[in-house]
Amino acid sequence: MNRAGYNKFLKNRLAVAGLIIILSFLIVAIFAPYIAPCNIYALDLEKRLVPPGTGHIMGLDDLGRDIFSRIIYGARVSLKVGIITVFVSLTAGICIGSVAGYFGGRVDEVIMRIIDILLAFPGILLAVAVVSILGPSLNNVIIALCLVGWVTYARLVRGQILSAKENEYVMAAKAIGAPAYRILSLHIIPNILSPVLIQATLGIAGAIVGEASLSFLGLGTQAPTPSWGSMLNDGRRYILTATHLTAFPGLAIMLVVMGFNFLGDGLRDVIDPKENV
Amino acid sequence: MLNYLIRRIYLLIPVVLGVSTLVFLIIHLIPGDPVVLMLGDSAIRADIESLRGKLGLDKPVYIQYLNFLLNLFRGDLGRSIHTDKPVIQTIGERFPATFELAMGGVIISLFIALPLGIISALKKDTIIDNGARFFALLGISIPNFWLGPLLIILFSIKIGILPVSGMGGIENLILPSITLGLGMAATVTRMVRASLLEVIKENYITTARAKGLGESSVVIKHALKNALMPVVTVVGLQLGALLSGAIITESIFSWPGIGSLTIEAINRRDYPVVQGCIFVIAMCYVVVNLVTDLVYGFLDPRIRYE
Repeated sequence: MNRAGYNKFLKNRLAVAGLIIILSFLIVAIFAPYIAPCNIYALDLEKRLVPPGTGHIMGLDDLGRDIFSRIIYGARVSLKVGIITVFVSLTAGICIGSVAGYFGGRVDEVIMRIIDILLAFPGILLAVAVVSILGPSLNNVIIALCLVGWVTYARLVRGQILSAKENEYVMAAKAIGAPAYRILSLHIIPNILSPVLIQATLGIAGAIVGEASLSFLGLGTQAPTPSWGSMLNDGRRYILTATHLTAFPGLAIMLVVMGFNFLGDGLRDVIDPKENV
Repeated sequence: MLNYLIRRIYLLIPVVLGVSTLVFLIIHLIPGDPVVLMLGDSAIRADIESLRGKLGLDKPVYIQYLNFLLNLFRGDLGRSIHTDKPVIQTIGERFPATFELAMGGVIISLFIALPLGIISALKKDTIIDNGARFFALLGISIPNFWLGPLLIILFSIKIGILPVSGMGGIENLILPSITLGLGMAATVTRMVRASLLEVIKENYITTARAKGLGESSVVIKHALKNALMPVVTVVGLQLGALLSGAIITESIFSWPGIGSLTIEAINRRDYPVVQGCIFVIAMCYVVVNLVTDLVYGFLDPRIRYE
């Protein structure tokens, strides 16, 4: 991003707000052991479902555990899933999309058909299918989300490469005999990264919601690891009597997802004003 | 139009075959013995072998695959291990509920998105526009598994005017429809706004204004008709996404549809039902996308000749 772009970004209040929200959650996740006031595994059945108040600002859950501390540790799970999922699916998507877009022909045809098939499954359904095969666990959720996630990036990268490879700088690199991997990695990919990075920012939000959805359905992170989705799922049983079990984990998910959506939208405004919706 | 239809259906064949293959693989990719997993560790050997034979898992994989495809072609998705009823019958019983919920979601979302998107575009960069854009971002960020419980807390527990869960009259449909439709409302609001802003810049709008037409006539008769074309695509794609959103919404509101059936089947390890549900949801998604393309092709003749 050049200086003008940087200034434009700073003027975009939503984008800056998004960045501040994300950085706050990152700090909370990294320093969780120093910030969390209580042990997240310590049970106190005599104080179960205690509402928010002095001593426990978000109250206690059905096993008497401090909800605030569990939300702080839950940030680790959510951000870990978001970042690993997007990193893996982005890398795979860039590699596969590059091969399809640059070489074209049969390879492109086969890759595009596979993408069409995977896109025939609505988002979460494929992840649910994968988790139903592998069994519920945090790692399997990450695998499922990666298997679903790379498709979007591959299709985006392929499209970008199809138009970028007609540029003169690519012709020039070909003319001097540069090999394909060099043309792709040094010349084409750096030039098409902007829309991909915007997509990746929004993708982190998608992955966080994906993990929380699967955990909410009981197919994701398993007890006693604190995941916001599974905390919501546990809280459902007490929705009539103890609403704080549901309210706070959901608020945390919404805030962090909003952060990434604000940032992704802001980046799009700066990088690609045409798409400004 | 007929050629376009044939071409689109022809392109679907590999997709349907691919989806069927992935669904077939579900039971074969399970680590360990799927039959033991379905019956539990304490199952006796005779039962295990009997179920293996019943599911056809004792035959070579390529025979199983061919049988699976042939059965799919005949509309036979196997039998539930839990109830022994044909899977297609179980899905048929649960599908109308999902359809009702999806329609509720679409109606709610269009009811919110169309007026909001139009006002937002017409009042660009005013406080109304900023409010609408903020709503859209908020709507996309609120996960439906949180929105649902929040609506229950507010309308069922605090105010006490709507039922907590279950299916019945129209009052049972309101909260699940809002839960399902709000995300779509946010996306469609953004699309209507962007599309209308794009169209308003066109020469024919300037011409319409130059002719002395009133602003409402320009917007409704000239701009909106053209602006709504890309919105049709988004609504179609979102309708498909609603089907997957239904998995969560149905689970929150104990809505007896195909989404909650999928989760029940996964928890019971009733793999024929899991396979059937995933196949049917994916096929609905494919068909909705096809219909969206066809509608779009019908509305915009340029698409058909590409």
